[in-house]
Amino acid sequence: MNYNVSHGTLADLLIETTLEKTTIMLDKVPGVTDIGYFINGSARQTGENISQLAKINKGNIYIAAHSQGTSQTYLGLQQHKEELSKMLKNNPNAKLTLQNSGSPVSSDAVKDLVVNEIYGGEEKIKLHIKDGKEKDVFRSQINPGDFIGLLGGNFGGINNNAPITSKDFWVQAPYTFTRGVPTLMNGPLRDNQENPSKSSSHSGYPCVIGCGDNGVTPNKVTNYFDPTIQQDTPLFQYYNEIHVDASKAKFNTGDNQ
Amino acid sequence: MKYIYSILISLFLLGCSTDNIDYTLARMSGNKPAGFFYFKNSYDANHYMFEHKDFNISMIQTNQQDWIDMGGWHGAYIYDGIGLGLEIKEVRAYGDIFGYGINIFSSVGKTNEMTDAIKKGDIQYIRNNIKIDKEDKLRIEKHGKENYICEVMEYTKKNNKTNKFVSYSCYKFNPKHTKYKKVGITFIYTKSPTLPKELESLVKEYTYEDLLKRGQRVLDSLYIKDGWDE
Repeated sequence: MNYNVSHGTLADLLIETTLEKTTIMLDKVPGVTDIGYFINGSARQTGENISQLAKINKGNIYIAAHSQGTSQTYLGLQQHKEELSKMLKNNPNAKLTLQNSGSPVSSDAVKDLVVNEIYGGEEKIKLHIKDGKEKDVFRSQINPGDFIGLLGGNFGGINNNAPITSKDFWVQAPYTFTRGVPTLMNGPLRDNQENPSKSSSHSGYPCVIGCGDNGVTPNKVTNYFDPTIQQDTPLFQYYNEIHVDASKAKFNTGDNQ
Repeated sequence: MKYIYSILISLFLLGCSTDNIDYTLARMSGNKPAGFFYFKNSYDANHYMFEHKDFNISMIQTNQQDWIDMGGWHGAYIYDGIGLGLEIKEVRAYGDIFGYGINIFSSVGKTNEMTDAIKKGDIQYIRNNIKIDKEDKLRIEKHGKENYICEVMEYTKKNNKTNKFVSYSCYKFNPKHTKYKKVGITFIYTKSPTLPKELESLVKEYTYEDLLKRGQRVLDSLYIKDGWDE
C-alpha cells in the first residue's frame, strides 16, 4: 500500500506532484527519469521497496497505491522495470499486479509500463495467469467525480483515460468539476454521515485487483472485493453507497466510436 | 475545437444546469449508453446489440425469470471492454456467490509464433506457452459472422474449483497477416461450494450448461471490425 501525506496536503499537491508529473511527462526522453529519480526521494524509496519485496517473493507482488502514491509507484517501477521484468521471466509462477486508486497519472502510461515494459506484452501475461489479459495485472480505478484523477485525464470507472486534447475529456469533466471539486477536502463518507453527498470522491477506494491475503482478483470485471463479507460485489453498488453517480463510470470511448 | 464551441453554445442556451449539460453532451455524443447499465426486462436485453469500436456483439439470451428469481442482468463498459453479470438478489448480503458473468475485451497486436500455432491448430505448442493445468481443456473452433478462428479454453481456478470459466479468443487478421485483432469472450459460472439453503433451488435452473447454451448467440453474432492500428 503506497500513499504519501508526509509534508502536508498543500505541499504534496503543489510541490511533489508537480515535480513527479513533470518527470512523468518527460519520461520518454532518455536520462530524464534518472534525474527525476535522484531528486525525488519518495519515488526512489518506493521503487527500492517494491524491488526488495519482489526479490523476497521471487517476483510475486501485489501493489496498491493511492493518489500521490501512484506517481511515486510509477516512477519507482520505471527505475526497476528491467529487474522486475527479469524476475517475471525467470519464474512463470510469479505475478505482479498494480491497483492505482484516485491517480493523477494517466492510466494509459501506467498500463504501458506494466503490460509492455514489465510483462513484455499482453501475450506474456498468459504465461503467468490463466487466460490472462491486461485487466488481470493493472487496474486504475477512479471514483466518479474524483478531481485528482482528472489531473491525469482519468475519469470514473477503471482504466478510463481521456487526454485533455480529446473530446471525451470535455464530456466527462463537468461532473468532476461539479461533484468532485467542491468536496475534495471533505474526507470520506464516515466523516459526512449527515450529508453523504458532500463526502469527497477522492477518499475511500475498494480493491479491484490482487485483493486480500491471497491476492484474489474479482472474476467479473464489474465487481470489487468486499473485505467484510470476503466476496466479490458489484462496483456500481459501491458507487451508489458513497453517493457518486455510477452512470458516470465508464471506459474511454475514443474518437472513432 | 468544434466540440469546445458546442459546449460553449450549450452553456449559453441552457444556463448552468449540469443535468441539462450532461443530457446535451450525451445527445451530441451519439446516445451511448451509460458506463454502468441495467436491463429492465428480458425483451429489451434480448434485442440489444453492443457496438464496440472493435466489434459488434449480441446480448446473451435472457429469460424473464432472470429478473424474478435472480437480480436481473446488468453490465458496464469498462476496462476498454464490456462486462455483464447476473447475480442473486441478495448480492449485497452474501456477495457474488452464485450467477453468470461475461467479460468481453479486444486487442490488436503483431502476428507471432503463438498466432501461427493457433492458425495451425498446434495445441501442444499453445499448451506449452500458456499457464494451463492438465485437467483444463484447450481446443480450436470457428465462430462468428466470418468464421473467425478461436482458441477455446475451459478451466477452473485453484481457489474455488466450483467456479467454471470458458474463454474464446477469436482472431481476425489483416490482409497481409502481419497483424491481428483479437476479441476475447469469457463466460463465467460462479457457484460457491457453500450456498445458503434458500438459494439451493436456483442451482437446478442456473447451470454451467445453461450458460453455455444461452451464450451461443453471443458467439454467433460476433463481428470483428477491420482496422489493425494499435
